[in-house]
Amino acid sequence: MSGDWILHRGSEVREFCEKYFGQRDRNVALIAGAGFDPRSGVIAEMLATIIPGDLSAIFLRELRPHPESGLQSIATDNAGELARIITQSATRSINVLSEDNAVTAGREAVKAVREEFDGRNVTDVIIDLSALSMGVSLPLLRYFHKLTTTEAPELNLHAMIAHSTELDANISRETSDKVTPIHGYDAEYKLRHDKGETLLWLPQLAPGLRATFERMYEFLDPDEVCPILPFPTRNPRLGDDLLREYLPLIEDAWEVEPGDLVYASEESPLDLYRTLLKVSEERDQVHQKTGGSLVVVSPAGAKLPALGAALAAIRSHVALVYTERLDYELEGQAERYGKDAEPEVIHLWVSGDPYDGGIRSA
Amino acid sequence: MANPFDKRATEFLSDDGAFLSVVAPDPITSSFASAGQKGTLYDRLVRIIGTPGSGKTTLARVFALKTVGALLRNPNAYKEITAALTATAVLENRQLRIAGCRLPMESEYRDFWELPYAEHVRLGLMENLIQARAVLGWLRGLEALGIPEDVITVQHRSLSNAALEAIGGETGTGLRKRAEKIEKAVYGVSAALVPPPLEELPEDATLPYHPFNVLSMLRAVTEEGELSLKPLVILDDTHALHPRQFNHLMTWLSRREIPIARWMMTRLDALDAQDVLFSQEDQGSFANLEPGRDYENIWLQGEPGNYGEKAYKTRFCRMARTMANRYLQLMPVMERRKLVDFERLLSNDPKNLPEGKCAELREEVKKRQFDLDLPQNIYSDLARSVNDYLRKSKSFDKGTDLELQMLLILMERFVRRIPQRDLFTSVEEEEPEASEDLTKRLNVNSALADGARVHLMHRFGRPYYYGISGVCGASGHNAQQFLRLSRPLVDLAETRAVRQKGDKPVLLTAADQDKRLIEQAKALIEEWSFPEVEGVRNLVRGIGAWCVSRTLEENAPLGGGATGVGVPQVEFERMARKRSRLAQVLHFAVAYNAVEISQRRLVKHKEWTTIELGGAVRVAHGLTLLDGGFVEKRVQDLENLIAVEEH
Repeated sequence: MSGDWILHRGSEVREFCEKYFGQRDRNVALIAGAGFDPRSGVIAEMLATIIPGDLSAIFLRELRPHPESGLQSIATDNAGELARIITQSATRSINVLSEDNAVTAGREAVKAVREEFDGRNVTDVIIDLSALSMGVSLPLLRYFHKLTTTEAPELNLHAMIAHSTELDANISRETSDKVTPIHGYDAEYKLRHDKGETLLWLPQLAPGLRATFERMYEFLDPDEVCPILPFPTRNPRLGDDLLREYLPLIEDAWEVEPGDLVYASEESPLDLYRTLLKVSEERDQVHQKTGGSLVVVSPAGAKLPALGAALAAIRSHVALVYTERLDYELEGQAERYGKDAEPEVIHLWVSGDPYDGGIRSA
Repeated sequence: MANPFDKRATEFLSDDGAFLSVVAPDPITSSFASAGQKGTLYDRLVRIIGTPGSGKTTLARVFALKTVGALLRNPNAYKEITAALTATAVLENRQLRIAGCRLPMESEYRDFWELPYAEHVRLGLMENLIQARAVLGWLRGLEALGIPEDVITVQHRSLSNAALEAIGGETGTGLRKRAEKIEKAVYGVSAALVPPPLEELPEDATLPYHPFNVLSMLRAVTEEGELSLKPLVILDDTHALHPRQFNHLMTWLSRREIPIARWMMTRLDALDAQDVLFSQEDQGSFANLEPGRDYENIWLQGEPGNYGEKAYKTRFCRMARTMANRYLQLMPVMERRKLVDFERLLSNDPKNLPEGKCAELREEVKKRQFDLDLPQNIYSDLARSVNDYLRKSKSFDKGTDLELQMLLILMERFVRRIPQRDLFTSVEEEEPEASEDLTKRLNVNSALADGARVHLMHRFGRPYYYGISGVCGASGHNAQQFLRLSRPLVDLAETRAVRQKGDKPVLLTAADQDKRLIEQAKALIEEWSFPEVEGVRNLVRGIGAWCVSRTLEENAPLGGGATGVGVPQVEFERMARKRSRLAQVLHFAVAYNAVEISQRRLVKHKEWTTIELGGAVRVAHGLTLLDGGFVEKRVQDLENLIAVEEH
């Protein structure tokens, strides 16, 4: 347990999976990405050894307009390998972008998974975020969370990640020029902002995204900005490097006061989650009589803080806004993450039995 | 300390007063005056087209009620903007006549297209949300002006009572209540995690709601008297819509029976690739609509194929100067030191090369004369013609180094122009008249001087990009790029102002400017982030290399040099119609100021399409900022460039 959440990491995860998913009455469905990411098979492999009989899977293959041919062939190999590991599985392709580059990832993912789940008898859904992009994984998290708290209270929802900051740093991205809420995390921010709620924007800074954040700033037109810097981090210089990269924006364009920087661990989803809830609650009190407060987070970079932001959005009135990735490039170590960057598996029980029918959402 | 030049556009300033104090009035009058004079700004659909950073949103904000309200509270403080708004009929004798409301067409509108309903339902939902938001925008804007909704009434076209009831009746309060209901219902559908089945769509989202067809004026009785305003809706960023939604908006808003004023602002890339790649005269009519008759086009940077228009460039430089000066006034250090004239911070003197380098050039001239076997009398003629030109030139830049480099180029040109000689004939033995004639025909003009300057930049690092015209040229005459390129110059000037004691003026040397502009241009290209960005980078990198190579030929055959490539018109048209990957890459390259395309240029008795590099790309490659020539290429050469994958 970690505060109000059940969280396991490293060796605890396997132990938990054996004890819990290994029970006879568990009927588990895994949703994972079948892409180029070397982590795509880590969790599937582990679960297949623990619950070989009662495990089914839906693998999502994210399609983008001009994939790099090398990565495409790795993705095909990975998809084949995943289908071999879990035989009761289906692979669905998701168009992340439409022909005119509009973001369709979230809607397509929810639609595909709903179709695949139709009529299935499942007790536990595991969303493996390791090889799924945020635009796909977070709407699925929201969809299943809503399901567990409304129509299917008997269903348990788990999030798992094979976490490797080194690998995340090796994946470079070309981003879309369209800023959009992550599907399901809109929180009516537009209506609320138009009505005069004070907008606080928290961009999760990551290397090489200056133009993207500039575009987001222009799009959101926030009243205040509190950039999120990773700390603690495996690379101790990361925070300084990001500050150097973003200083002109932080200081001049966004006019951020030094005390307004937010620090969040890149090794845990709950650090940012708790910070966001605190910020949101305190601002609600302050702005109660002056038109209300609106918190918008832009997750980017490491996946664990992004998961934390999603949990905060589910629990509170926080909106998530992002730009979708048009293309990926994997620098070095294309086939595997390397000995020094072995991913750590993390499990978070999002909703279900231990939370008395699911966590309370806003 | 905050540097306002780092803000991407004036739209970042959330305070209306601050916004008005930095807005330059020139683009308002220059872009809208013509349509204003024709009377077409408010009686039909107006489509305003520009590249990112060309000032669309800034213009939209100027016309919004909230901004005009701030202006009316203190019109004397913003005399120029007041005059511009009067010229465009927003104000009449300082009385408001137009109620403007800006609606950014964000992703939520595009999301309607993804809903699992019939097309007419999806388009209907979009129309309803636009209309509800516009009504709320007008009412909120009027409220910001101190006019509460309960004193507002509606002047409407005499349609049925049902149509009037459907928009909430004749009062401001009724209008607001109805619009809020519609907005909430439609918004709920587009943002839903799983869209509801058609039969479960909320009634408020789908019922007929046509305020654009009904409203003709908004009236209010205030302490100052009766106010009668024509509603104007400005749909910003319509390029974010699906092409079918965009086409529908065009068709819908082009209907002449709509009494409200309506503008659509769009980036170039929203138009069909063929719209971007072909100039207007080459385009067919749009969805059976005729520009000029059914709608008005306003191109903020000139029509495609006509960007190089001299008048536009002159207007831009004037506007950029005003804008920069207003931004400088926002910087306390600069304001205190009265350093608020941007042009006066920038030296126009590139300084002569050091004597050692000039001696090196002199030696080279002598050696080349010998190598080319150029007789002394011809050499003297060439040297005299260069000297005469520079003596008469009004340019600051006419030092010895420039003179020697011009002479070197001229000698090369002379030798290349005379017919090929046999092994035993020297130039002296040829007909003397013919040589004299050739000397006259070798034009010694500003293009030759520009070529010499570019050569000196590449050979000796002599500054080339400096002065206000240098910054304007480097920006490709785009407001946002102008601000971004100016930022390091302003930073440096501010630092000097802080460190320099007394009232000594701050002046950035040409070398300081050149270095920083090149660095900043490279950084801007590095920061590019848009679809097909790698293809665009490969394309401009390749074209840039071709241009540099052609420019640095010893005889500077294209004067200042090459600034792009030309491909046969027929080949280009074939490629554009095929909608190939190259067409797609060019589409975004044009939309994001990386290149400019001109069609049907007649050169050497052939029709060409030229693809010229944008300002920042030219600076990054060390190319001329003046009108340059082009390198002849084939479409296949360009396709090979974008096929290169980065590793």
